[in-house]
Amino acid sequence: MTSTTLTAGDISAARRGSPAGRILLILGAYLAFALFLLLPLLVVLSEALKLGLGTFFSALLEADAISALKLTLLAVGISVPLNLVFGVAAAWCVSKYEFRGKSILVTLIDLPFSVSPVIAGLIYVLLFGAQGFFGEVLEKYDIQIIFALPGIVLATIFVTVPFVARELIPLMQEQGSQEEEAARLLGASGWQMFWHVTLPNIKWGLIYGVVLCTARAMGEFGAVSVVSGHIRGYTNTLPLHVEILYNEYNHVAAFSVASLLLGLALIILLLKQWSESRINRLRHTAEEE
Amino acid sequence: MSIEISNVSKRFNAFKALDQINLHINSGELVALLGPSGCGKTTLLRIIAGLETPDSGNIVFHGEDVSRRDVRDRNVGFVFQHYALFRHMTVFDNVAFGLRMKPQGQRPSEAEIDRRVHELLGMVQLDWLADRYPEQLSGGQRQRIALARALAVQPKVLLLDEPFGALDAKVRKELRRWLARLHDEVHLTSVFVTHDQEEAMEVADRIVVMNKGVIEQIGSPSEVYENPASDFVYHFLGDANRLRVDEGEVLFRPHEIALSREAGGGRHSGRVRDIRPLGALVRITLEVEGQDELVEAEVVRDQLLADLSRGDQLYFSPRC
Amino acid sequence: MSRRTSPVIPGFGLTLGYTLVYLSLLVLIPLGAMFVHAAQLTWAEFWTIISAPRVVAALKLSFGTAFVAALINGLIGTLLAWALVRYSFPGRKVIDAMIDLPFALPTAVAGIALTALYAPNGMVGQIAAWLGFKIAYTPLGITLALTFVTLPFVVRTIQPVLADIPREVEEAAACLGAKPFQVVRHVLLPALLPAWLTGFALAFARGVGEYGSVIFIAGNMPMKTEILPLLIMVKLDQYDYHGATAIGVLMLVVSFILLLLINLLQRRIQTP
Repeated sequence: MTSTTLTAGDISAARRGSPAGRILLILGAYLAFALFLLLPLLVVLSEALKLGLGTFFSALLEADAISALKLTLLAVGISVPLNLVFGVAAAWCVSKYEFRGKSILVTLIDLPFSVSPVIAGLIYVLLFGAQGFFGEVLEKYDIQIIFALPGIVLATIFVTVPFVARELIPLMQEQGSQEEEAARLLGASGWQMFWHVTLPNIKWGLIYGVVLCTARAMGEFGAVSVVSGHIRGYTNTLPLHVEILYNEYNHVAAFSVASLLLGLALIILLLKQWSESRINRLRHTAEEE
Repeated sequence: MSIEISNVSKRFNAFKALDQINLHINSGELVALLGPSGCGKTTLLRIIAGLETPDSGNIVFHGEDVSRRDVRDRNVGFVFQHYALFRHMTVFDNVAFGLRMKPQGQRPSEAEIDRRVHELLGMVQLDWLADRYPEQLSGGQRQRIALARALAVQPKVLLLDEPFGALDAKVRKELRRWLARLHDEVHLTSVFVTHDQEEAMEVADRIVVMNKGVIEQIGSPSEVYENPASDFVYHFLGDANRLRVDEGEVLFRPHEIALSREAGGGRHSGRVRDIRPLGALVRITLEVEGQDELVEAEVVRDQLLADLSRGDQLYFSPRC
Repeated sequence: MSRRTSPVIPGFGLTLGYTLVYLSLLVLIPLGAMFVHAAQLTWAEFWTIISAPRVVAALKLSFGTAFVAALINGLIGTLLAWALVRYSFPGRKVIDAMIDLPFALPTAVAGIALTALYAPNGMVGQIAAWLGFKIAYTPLGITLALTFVTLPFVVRTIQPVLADIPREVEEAAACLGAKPFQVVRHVLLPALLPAWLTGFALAFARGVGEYGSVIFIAGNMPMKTEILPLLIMVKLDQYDYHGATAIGVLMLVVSFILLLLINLLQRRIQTP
């Protein structure tokens, strides 16, 4: 830097932009945050507490709300573990092996992200609904899929299929296979290798994927709305319950239940932040090697 | 344990990584697979380990064909180039891994494992690091832990992939002397891969020079250096000068040269282009008329050089 | 030489098989069933359904609002990502964490919250009404809802790329005499563009299909504020499976063509 007239200040200015621009950008970030993120959050809480804590809690403890909560938990409890196992298997075959058509497979895994949730519901209605492909067979054996729990679970699985796999694939590709090879050379069986070497290495990525998957499964509305049939107390999940209350102009109750979901969303954000920081730490140490 | 490699070939799609490799490694020998990157040396090492399956050919350990045998049952110790230590395990757990993976009947007790691991850590002089994690170790320490881990299962063959490749120059020198000493003590049949001829020269009993998937030459360090079987081997094993003469060309190493101020005696003339002191030696770069390639001479400092400067005329003759 | 996969790592058949079966049963076959169902229609019937004015209006509305929302996010998202990566300011970490709120928050909750804010009697809606325009129950409201739910896409795809651009690149440009604006224009934007397009495409695809956050704020007036997913819902409620299927197929096909175009554009940028 001796022969030029540029100073270190010029260079860092080029990097940071002019002070005015910087302040403007930071103010813009605050504004976007307040307008887009904070305000909706505060509205949910203020609307929920409009008539005091009493009404708030009675909306949450109402029988239909409780059964909606149970159904939501059940749907999450079934669909998330299934997608977890799928995600690990998919990430394993994509990241550990080379084979023809791999990029097509990765595209297919991501496919549900670009399909409207309403279509996700529609396709199961076309398959299992009364007029669907399997409608008659199901009716004959008195099996209810649409307008029942299985339909809700299927629709939820569809919209959350990619989450775990998407998180694990880049992580596992980055980590490579040498630790697994080392384990095999030291006499580990396939399962021993997976449990003792692979799983601990992908743990945080796995948790991160599960957190995202859970968030979406818990809040899914469009797909579940199509297949649920909105039978109060039976096939209503929490988001659907919010919709019904809202459409009945029971706004305070709707926002009370909504604030429960909001609380869960904030917990999920915390969990996400936590697992993400652990992954970054892992990445950091991996880069040093 | 001897290793017999016969007619091993391996392709990766259109790329011929190994072509009809035949090699015999004696029991207790320390052999270097030397060659430029992409020559197939690592592939050969991985095939010996069982990490890669050859398209054709056999690997025989001490008279026993292991070509179709699973990695787990080959009983080889393998040290990866980047060590591949288990990052979420302590140094102790890393070294103990192989012992803990043994089937129920053969698995030593925890007390026995503890004793063996500490013994190994003592051998690599890192006992005090037992509770650390790999990320807390230096490159040289990781390397030695990787070695201890490989030795824990008492392998009959030790394979090392570029064992010093990722280390800085000083640690690398220390560690390769240490490895040579260790090999003298345990006398385990060992094969290591390297692209550094100095490393191969210093550590190995025998050197296998490879290029483009075939073996160019097998021999002791002095054999391959003094009697190279091909131009490739000659060039790969050290700096070389090429001098055009009437009937063709002469190859010689920078130290195989005699310099003089006087013409005559069949000496060639050259103009001094550069003079660089290299410790005990001095490297003189000469421009030779009639060829573009420069000639380098590495000679002991003496009176001749005392008042030498750039542009001077010198006379030289190759001594080979 | 890249490290090839070694044959000693077990489970290829098992995991690939499981992946294919799972994907086929839950995603591919059901999606295929929709196309099979649509094939029962003649071309003329199909055309009649999708060329109905109500469908065309919804198609324009859905793709139009999703496109505008993705563009808005392309701008706001880039600025947010820039501020978060390049500057340190109080509350940066909180804002960074909260960027993902739209992903974590159930869309129905987002929908009613935004409606409460932007309806004529809501906090922001009142101000808008005083200024003489309406937000909720107009395409503007739909765009706003879509902007909210797709906000994280552009930020999250750009952030890592921006953080990875080595300091030296910009410094080198500055040393070569580039002004700050030129550094942004010639050095940073070309590096960011592929990621920006990815974020844009993700936001757009999600926006086209979005249902939960939109239906509350949209007002759902046929021909005016009725989105395509809602129209599918309406057809289903009337047990008009053919109509629903035809619209579903239309939506998927148009989305994929647009995503394919974005993908091609991206490849052109990456391989000049």
